[in-house]
Amino acid sequence: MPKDVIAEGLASGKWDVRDAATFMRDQTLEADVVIVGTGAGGGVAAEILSLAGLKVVMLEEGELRYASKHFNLKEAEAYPTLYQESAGRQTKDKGITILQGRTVGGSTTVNWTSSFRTPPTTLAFWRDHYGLDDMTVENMAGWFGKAEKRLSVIDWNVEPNVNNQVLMSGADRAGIHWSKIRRNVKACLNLGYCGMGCPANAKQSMLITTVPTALDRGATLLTHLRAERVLQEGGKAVGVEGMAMNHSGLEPVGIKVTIKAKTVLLAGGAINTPALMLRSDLSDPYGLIGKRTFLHPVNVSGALMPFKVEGWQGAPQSIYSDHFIDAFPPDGPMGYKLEVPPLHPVLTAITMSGFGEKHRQLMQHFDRLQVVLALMRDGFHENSRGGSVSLKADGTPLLDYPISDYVWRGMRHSYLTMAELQFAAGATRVMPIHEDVPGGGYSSWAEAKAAIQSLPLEVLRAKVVSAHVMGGAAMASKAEQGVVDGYGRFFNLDNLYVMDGSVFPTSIGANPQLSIYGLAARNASSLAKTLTGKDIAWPV
Amino acid sequence: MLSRRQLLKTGVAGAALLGLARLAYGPITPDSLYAVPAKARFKVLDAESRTALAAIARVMLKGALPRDEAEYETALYQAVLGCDTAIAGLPMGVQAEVKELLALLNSRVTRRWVVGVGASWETASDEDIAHFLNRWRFSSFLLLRSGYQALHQIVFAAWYGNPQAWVGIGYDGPPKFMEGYWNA
Repeated sequence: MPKDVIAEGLASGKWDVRDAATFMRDQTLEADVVIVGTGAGGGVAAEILSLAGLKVVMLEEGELRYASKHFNLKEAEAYPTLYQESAGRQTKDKGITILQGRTVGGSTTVNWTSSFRTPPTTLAFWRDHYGLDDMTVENMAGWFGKAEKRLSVIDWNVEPNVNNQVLMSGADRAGIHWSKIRRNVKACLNLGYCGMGCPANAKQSMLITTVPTALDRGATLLTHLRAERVLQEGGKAVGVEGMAMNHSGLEPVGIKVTIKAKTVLLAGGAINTPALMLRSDLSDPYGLIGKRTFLHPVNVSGALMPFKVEGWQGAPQSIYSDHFIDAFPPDGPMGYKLEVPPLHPVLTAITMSGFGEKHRQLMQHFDRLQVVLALMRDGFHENSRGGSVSLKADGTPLLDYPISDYVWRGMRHSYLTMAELQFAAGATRVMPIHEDVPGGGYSSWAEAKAAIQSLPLEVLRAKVVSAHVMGGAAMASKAEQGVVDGYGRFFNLDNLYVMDGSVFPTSIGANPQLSIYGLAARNASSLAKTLTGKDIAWPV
Repeated sequence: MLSRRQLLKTGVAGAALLGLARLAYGPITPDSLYAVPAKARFKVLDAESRTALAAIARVMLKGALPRDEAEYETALYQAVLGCDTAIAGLPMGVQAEVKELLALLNSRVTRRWVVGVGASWETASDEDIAHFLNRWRFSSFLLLRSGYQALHQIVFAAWYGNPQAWVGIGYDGPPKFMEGYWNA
């Protein structure tokens, strides 16, 4: 019988896991370090700081859901329970829908396992523009290597599923270069349901790696707890005040939980971390908190193939193309990365445009549907400044992300590229996901090419989505340019750190999980040394 | 139907439109019920909203709903129930926005003048409803486009989230062999 590390840990009686939804009265806890969030940044930091012998308290707004008890591969259950806003978080004008995790392990519990080191071009840009001089490829390589070892990032040598094969063969025929994606998995069953929580604990998410280690080392995990504000006293961060949420995670139950801590570490992910900082009325002399939030805005192209694709089966992402990242310098035209998404009924049906018979005709060919994505590398050009997080009346975050003409031009370019390669791979119909594309799409590359040139590019006509939220608490060497320094130290209050995707001063230009792991490992190790004087061997 | 110029004059800006309509015309007068049995299982949708959503879902899901009459009614009921579940899972702030949208659909005045459906949801023809959906879908007003997209998202998530809806799309559901994985 396979063993579920979470079920065993809970059964051992040694773990201190508390569900705030069950709390009957206000409470106060004490810790050396309180960490807000259990995703890529918070998970890695919790493990390293616990290994250093520090008493860590982890706060998670989501629930503790895990493979042997909860992960049943059903979209209708996964989206409301594992994602921010039922997987339907949207930008202010509702033009972009964002997939972001909200569960123990954060987005790492639901991501598609794609693992890329921060691209050299991105690091160079940070050195040149944000004074992050020591973030060289050489200096960072060690940290990425450690993270890869800890989280089992491996070459994926299994044959790509058909959805990915189309990207590969289409790219070959269109003269576009492609490569294989590395994945953080162990004994992966190649099911294709990563987005609903890995049912076999193959994905090496924070849920089954770093969070369990931290718990083994005496950390406390509080679930269903929304961090409301950072507590400040005498120029120092001294803790976090949180609100217990109900079981659905939708409403506070009116119970206050205070964690007093010598060090406060924010890792709630981009959008949520800047929002928490804004709610805390932190000093922000240059008005940078929440600014320059990036999304890798994604546009989408569907195709009907003359063969079965069954895009729900197999590793969701195994092939990518950086052809149009490499072809364009960061200060040139908008660069974009090509990948494919897994195809499941709900996400596919809500993504495909139109309704009635036309929508149904497409769904009837669901098993022959192939989809390519283009991820815009936002944040490198002066005409791509990202979005801005503010607070709604109820204190929850709202991201305003206007899509600039520069970004739209990248999307038009990528619609063309995606259509060309899908036809090259044998597609009988190609449909850029856009309301103005006729039901059934285009039947030839020539037709698609002419039509795409004149598609009106505006939100809520062109389908734009995102699964990578970055920035909003950017790192830089100087306070005029950033919210935190290169080690995640907040510039305007002692003992406050940020270690998640919100510290990136631009987008990454690749799926961000490994960038977060590597940087969080580096910065949490540095923090552990500061707090304990010890060098922590990681991974153990 | 309001012309574009009239809408501009009214100062269309986000939900202000809804507020204006309500200020101008007083409380919402709902249509009578479409044949969706009211049951206590609904968490957020009131009877009027169920009627409106059933009519909209009927048109959005044309071709997907079963042909058999008895099955059709049950399936449509399931779809509306699914909409209720989907909406109930949204953050409270977003739920409030969806309720504003439903209020706009339900009020006779806004249904006629903003939605552009003259007949009650109970009696509106498929053509009228499809016309309304397409008008919103291609509207030059962001607010109306976002209203269409919200309905699209809710209805299709509700429908295709239900395993019964997978018949005919070549998808057999998640692999069965995983069901006993942890007890093997």
